[in-house]
Amino acid sequence: MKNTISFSTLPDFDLLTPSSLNEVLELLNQYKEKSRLLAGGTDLLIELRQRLKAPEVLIDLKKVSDLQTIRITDDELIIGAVTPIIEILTLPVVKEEFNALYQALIDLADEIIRYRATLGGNIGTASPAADSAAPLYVLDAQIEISSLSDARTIPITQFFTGVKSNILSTDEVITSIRIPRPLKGTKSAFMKAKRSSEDLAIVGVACLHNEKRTSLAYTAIAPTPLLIDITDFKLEKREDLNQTIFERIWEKILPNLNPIDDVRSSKKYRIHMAEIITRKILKEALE
Amino acid sequence: MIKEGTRPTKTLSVILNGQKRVTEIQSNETLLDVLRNKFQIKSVKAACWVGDCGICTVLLDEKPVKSCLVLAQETMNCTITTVEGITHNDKLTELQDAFIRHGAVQCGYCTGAFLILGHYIINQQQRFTFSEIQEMINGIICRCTGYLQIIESILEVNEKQFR
Amino acid sequence: MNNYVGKSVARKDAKEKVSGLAEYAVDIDYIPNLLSGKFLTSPIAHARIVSIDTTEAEKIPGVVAIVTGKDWPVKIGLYAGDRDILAVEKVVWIGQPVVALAAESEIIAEKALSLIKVEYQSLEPIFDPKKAMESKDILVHEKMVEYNHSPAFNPIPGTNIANHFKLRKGDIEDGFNKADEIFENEFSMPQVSHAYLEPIVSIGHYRKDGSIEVWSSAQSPFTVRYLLGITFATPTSNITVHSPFLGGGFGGKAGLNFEPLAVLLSRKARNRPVKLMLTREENFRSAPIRVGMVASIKTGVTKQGKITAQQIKYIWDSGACADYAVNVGRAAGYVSIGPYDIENIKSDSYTVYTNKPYATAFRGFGHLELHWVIERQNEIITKKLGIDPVAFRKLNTLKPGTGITGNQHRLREDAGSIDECLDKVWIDLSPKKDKIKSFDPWIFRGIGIAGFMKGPAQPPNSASSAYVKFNEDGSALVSVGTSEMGQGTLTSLAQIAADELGLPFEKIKIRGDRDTDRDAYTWQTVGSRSLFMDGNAVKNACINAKEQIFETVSQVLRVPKSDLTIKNELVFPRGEPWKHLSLSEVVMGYMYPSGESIGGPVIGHGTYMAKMTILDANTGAGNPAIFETFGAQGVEIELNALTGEITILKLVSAFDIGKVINPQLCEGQVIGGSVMALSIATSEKLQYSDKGDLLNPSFVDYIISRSGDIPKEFITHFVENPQEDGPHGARGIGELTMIGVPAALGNAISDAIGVEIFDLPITSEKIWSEIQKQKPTLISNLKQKMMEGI
Ligand SMILES: Cc1cc2nc3c(=O)[nH]c(=O)nc-3n(C[C@H](O)[C@H](O)[C@H](O)COP(=O)(O)OP(=O)(O)OC[C@H]3O[C@@H](n4cnc5c(N)ncnc54)[C@H](O)[C@@H]3O)c2cc1C
Ligand code: FES
Ligand code: FES
Repeated sequence: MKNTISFSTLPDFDLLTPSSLNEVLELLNQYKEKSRLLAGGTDLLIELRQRLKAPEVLIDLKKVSDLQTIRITDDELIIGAVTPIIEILTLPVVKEEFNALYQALIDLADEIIRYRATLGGNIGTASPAADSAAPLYVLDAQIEISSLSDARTIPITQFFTGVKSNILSTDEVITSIRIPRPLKGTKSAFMKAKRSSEDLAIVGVACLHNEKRTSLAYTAIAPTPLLIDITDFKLEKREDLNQTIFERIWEKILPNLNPIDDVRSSKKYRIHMAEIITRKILKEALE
Repeated sequence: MIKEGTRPTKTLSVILNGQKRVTEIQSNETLLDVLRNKFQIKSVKAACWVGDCGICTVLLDEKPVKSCLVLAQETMNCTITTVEGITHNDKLTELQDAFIRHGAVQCGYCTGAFLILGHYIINQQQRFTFSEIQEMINGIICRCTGYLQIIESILEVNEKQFR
Repeated sequence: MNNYVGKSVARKDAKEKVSGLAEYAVDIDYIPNLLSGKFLTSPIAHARIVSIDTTEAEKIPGVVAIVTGKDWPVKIGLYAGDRDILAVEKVVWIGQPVVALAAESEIIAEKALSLIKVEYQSLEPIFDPKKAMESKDILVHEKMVEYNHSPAFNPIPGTNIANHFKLRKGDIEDGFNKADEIFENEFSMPQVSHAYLEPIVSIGHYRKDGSIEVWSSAQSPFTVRYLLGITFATPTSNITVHSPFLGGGFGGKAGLNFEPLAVLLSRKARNRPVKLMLTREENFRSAPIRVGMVASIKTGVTKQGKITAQQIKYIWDSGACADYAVNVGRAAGYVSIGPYDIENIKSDSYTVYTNKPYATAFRGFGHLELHWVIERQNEIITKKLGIDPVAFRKLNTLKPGTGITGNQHRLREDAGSIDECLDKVWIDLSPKKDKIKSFDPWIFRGIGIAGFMKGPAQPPNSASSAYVKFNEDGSALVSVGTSEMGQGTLTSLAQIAADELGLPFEKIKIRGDRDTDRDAYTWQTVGSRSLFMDGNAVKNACINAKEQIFETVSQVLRVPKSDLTIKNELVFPRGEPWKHLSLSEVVMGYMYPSGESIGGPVIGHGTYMAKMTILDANTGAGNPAIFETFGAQGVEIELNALTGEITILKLVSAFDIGKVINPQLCEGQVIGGSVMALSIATSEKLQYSDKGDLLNPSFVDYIISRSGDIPKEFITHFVENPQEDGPHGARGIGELTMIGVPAALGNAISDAIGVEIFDLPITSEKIWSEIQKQKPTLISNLKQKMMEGI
């Protein structure tokens, strides 16, 4: 039977505040499934209040400065997992070269939340509606993961394993998100359908287009985000996209969509909005 | 009201509204709980406890946060500013005065949150448009005023800075 | 002598509120030995309680008291006593409190609650109000006939119908025979939440001497006191209710809510005070909400646009308890045809029980809903007949001398004018503008208008009172019973008092908190009645105080009382200001140079009684309200036919409120009320699973308007046709500001793309799905255009 108590308190736990990555890894190794990582807390504290999780310890990542750096090199943008979203937005290169990510992050939650919420946390929660996922998918982001015994880098497309579940084992932490700098002339964009000025996505769509490839990614329309490559359709300029071509593109995309009915939207409307946004976003990418 | 759990307490020390304050806290207490229950800062209200309404907004190290989503322990040695910290001896700030003149206050339950966020916006020393302010305050709900007067109050004080 | 009335003086409570000093019930934690209360709720919509096992919870250190329904099996309610304090024999909705406890801290309370075991035996639930109305075998309240209810209501035994209100006039069949066209439609509106920001808080203290003290976020403290007296079988004089500032109420804190439970817990906790504070989720599930509505309407009209017959059936979904909802059904029943004068009427308004959270008052009280029906129907009619929407309405609107409750009670000559409001709004909507002005072919523009009326729904004997007490320096305290929940009435009352007494506004004090022992009585703070009722009471109290002052001064100055006047804190014979006494010399009694003293401390009192009648049970005839405020609202919108998204470009309102006491406060009500109404019209809906479980009990899932959602422009007009018996001619406004918005929006959508919406809320998804139904090819055409486009 469902829970019949609505909690106004947080459960008991101990808060640990390591100051280096190594300490984090040691603590993770020690506590494993008895622990949870705490970044901005904008997802985790809610789950704790609702008693969806009952960790014995929380490991706060905010005192680890290594995890909060944001760097641009010749090849890539490297965002420390615990960088607050507001800081990512202030870096001019993000808007200039990674527009899809910029548009997703500027529409993620509200400005006050964006001071706390982190990119690592947004992915870590692994919500099917995580706004950053669609742009990271089209931008080919890599997730850097560490544990005491190992370190690995995986493409973001392998990270999500189901609704609110991810590939991390209990002793691992995301250290950074690395995004290769797109080719010159790349256009990328993100748009989400929502019920009002501030809402989680009914559906989120990202698009990337350059001379080598055209990709689309979707959130909130299947248990995990989806990446769909449409380079085959050889879209180069606006004239290449017309009703007939679009219908063929959509025929390719549609079978992958598997949305749910919920309080935010029906399945049908989710699919409809995915289609309309795809049309708009593709059209704009080609203009 | 007492919220604390059963773990051993810790000593929290913060600079609250310019004054050093110390209290015993438990790990499960939020900044919201501690401000209201331990420091008797009652201008900070709550309406959802899960980050949606923004009514619990305060400035933590000069930046806005929803205090129900911050653990009290995380604020060790931080500075915290609430409406109590910007009002002294009957002397209202320009923003408080603008709120009154524009009729931006009805039931008043959200007022502390909008004032402190407005205070932050004005302290940025940057000129904002109506729609930028509209967007910046979108994280706080007001069920009474319809927001227009709140936006106009912040906008007016912001514009004055550049006259 | 209006120094203040008519001016935008700042709110009395503004400084307190901007400096964080205003105290709300949620802030009160300084009562010694205060315990935390918390309750366990029902997980099933309809079930018999088999057993409750609290043994494990009792063992938790720090648990002081546990109560179940059997501890105090008294039914509570204002109009119908149909609600258990805690479920006694069966539970009737998911979220209903079943067991409660008081503990030393919240965390202990929560731990202990999770150890309580309740066994239920499921019963067949009923959720659809239409089915509930027909049902004889699934009854939410089998014992309805045994409940106490006010004689104004008419429950039907053996059914789920808690009240049936009838309005009858003329001959309905004859009316339809005279019509050239007949229109039949169904409309609906779901249950919604008040979503006031301050959650419900009740602190109860059952003291050792049997007296009861309560601090509560209650908008009607005197009603709470009266009903607590009945609940605990103790004289009203034994009870004190404090209601501090309210963080919004909108009707949701009217009536009696969690106060009896807090008192009961305190009684069991060996007289320690107990504080109950609802979480947001509890507020959604366990506290009262707004009624849902389904309506069917059949209208007969001539070709020229004269309505000949109106037949309506309203079904009000009151959820599991109809305490307050019976009055929503009644109020909406007597106004059921809206602000129109129609010869033949047959209207039935049923308040029906279902196994969902229970409903109470909510700003607009049935009128928002009924005008959604009437004004949408009118739009459909005018479109079909090809008549100008305003001309059509004006042909049918009530005029002074015609009557409400179906012309069975004549409207007073000074009742105000809806026609003026309609004209003002229509001009600003600039109907002649080009419809499609946008670059994109899928963006459509439209305008829509709705007219409306509302008066306070209160019993004929509801009263208000006030007193004015002078201080040594000539300043004064005004006391009224009305609560301050944001609407600003207290400020307007202080303005009235300042002008009446010739005092500077700063010298009038009016407290924001209410205390039933200290303050003058008022029935309730509901229905936009306060300014009118309490305003008259304040005025009368001031007149009475002046009487006392003039009595003294006339002896001192040896002039007749009737010659005296007060201005700038001086009392003098009219035309001879040099012969003055200052107020401070008289208000505590006047002392002659010899030391001989006359008069005494001045306390003026005043009352105001509503002048109404009981309505006829078979026809609804009678005088239902002390005033009706008329108004009209309109919107101009931009609609994206591909996504269903709308942008409100302009929201125009006009109200005939008789006299604007404080323009800024009135304007604040209009903007706040219309944004709330837009929120309700476009997104708010309590959504349930097929088991009756609320699916969106949070502000993430239940969307309410934020700053980014407001219209681009607001235009507001106040028409001032004064009502002779109103304070300075004024009528109420608070609720009116919402009423026309949903229908105006629906009408604008119809104007924009010719799609008719029948059910609220008008979400983007709703618009999209209606476009698909009603204009099956439009979207695919537009999609094609989108790909061709420039
Ligand atoms: C009002 C409100 C509105 C919101 N709106 C949106 C929205 O529009 N779009 C959206 O996508 N989200 C939204 N969110 C959700 C949330 O804010 C974001 O997902 C945010 O990015 C989470 O980041 P965080 O740092 O707060 O995560 P936390 O809550 O700290 O952590 C989230 C999860 O990730 C894990 N985690 C955190 N960091 C790491 C790491 N470095 N390595 C491994 N695991 C880690 C945590 O253990 C936890 O399970 C909203 C939340 C709120 C309260
Ligand atoms: S109480 Fe913190 S956001 Fe609502
Ligand atoms: S003034 Fe009441 S919630 Fe904003």
